[in-house]
Amino acid sequence: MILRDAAQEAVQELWLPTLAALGFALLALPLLAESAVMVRDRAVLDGVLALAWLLSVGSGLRLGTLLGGQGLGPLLRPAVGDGRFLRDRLAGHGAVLAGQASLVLALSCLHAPVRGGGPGLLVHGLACAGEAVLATLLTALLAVVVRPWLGAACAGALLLVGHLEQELLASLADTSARIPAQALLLFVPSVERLDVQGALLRHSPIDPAAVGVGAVELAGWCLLLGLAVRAAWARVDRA
Amino acid sequence: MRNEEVVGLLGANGAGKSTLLLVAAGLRRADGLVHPSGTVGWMGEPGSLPRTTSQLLALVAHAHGVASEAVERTRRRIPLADGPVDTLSAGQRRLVLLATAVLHDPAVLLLDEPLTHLDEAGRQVVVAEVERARARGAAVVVATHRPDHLPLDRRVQLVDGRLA
Repeated sequence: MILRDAAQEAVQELWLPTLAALGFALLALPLLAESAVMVRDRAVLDGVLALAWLLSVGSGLRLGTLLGGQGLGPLLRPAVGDGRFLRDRLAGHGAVLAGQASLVLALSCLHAPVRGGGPGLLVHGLACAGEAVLATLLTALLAVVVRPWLGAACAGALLLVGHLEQELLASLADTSARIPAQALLLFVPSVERLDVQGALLRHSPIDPAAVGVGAVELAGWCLLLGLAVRAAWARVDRA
Repeated sequence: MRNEEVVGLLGANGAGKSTLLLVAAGLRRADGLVHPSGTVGWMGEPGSLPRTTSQLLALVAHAHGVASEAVERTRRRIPLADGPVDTLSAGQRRLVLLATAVLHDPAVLLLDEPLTHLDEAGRQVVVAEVERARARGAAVVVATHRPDHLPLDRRVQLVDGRLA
């Protein structure tokens, strides 16, 4: 019941941005890509992949501000316990986030260049949904100490850093800041090993081992952040 | 606190009445221990509730593990407006919150300013629920500025967070 309610809440929150993103991906993106005459196919594929990621992470940040349940928390958490409340609400939100990523990528397959992505699109969908769940959890965690919108802003910034981890390290390659930056980045949630955007754009094969490691990394971060949210909730007032 | 007793928590604004109820309901952390002798029902101000009355009652009933018939029984006793709870009038919202507090027949019923925003009919509903809770053996604590409008067995005065 709590899970279903959370899923309904997520659908209510996300249907409009999802519809707008689909409209952009299906109608506006091909027109925009026409301006890139020689690389139209690549522009469409790149646009769809980036849009799916942005939509997922944005949706995750939004749902993270609601994970505590607002007024529902004080009414339900004492009865069911923080752990079950968090588990059910995260499952409801996560299911909708996964459905959203799947829907956007599946409908974008109407474009031939996106269809060409093949099974790599599944990995991209997993990465999008995974980062969205991380965004939800990270926002909920930060929302314990700051206002939810500020928590979402901080979580968004952290996830962006995690998403661009390799690029950041590459830019620091010849500097003394590389080692400390690398150490600090260990604490930033990231599923970069699941990022197959580059491979899809280059039409190069996806490395199954990297995907496997990325999936384990994603599960680990979700578990860690879930436990952190649960512990943080136990240390603050419920109302 | 004893069963079958209605205790009124009295005191000026800021005396600690609502805080004490939040602690007793397990909603606020505090030094020391609170031992409710069974399930707790709390009627306070939980914040935004973007759900309809029916959705909210179904969720609360599910969380407490009570059958949907309990919701129907509660709705027969307490007249509730349907629609999104956040759009209801303040008085209608108070009655919805009262329903969420009593639908699982808690052993300890904590009511924070239950008469606020209510008309005479609403007041009678609150009084009836308090008497019903007492009759079935519950302990009831009511924080209120209107003690004469409620069937209190005992009154406790709070001053700056301490019993006077």
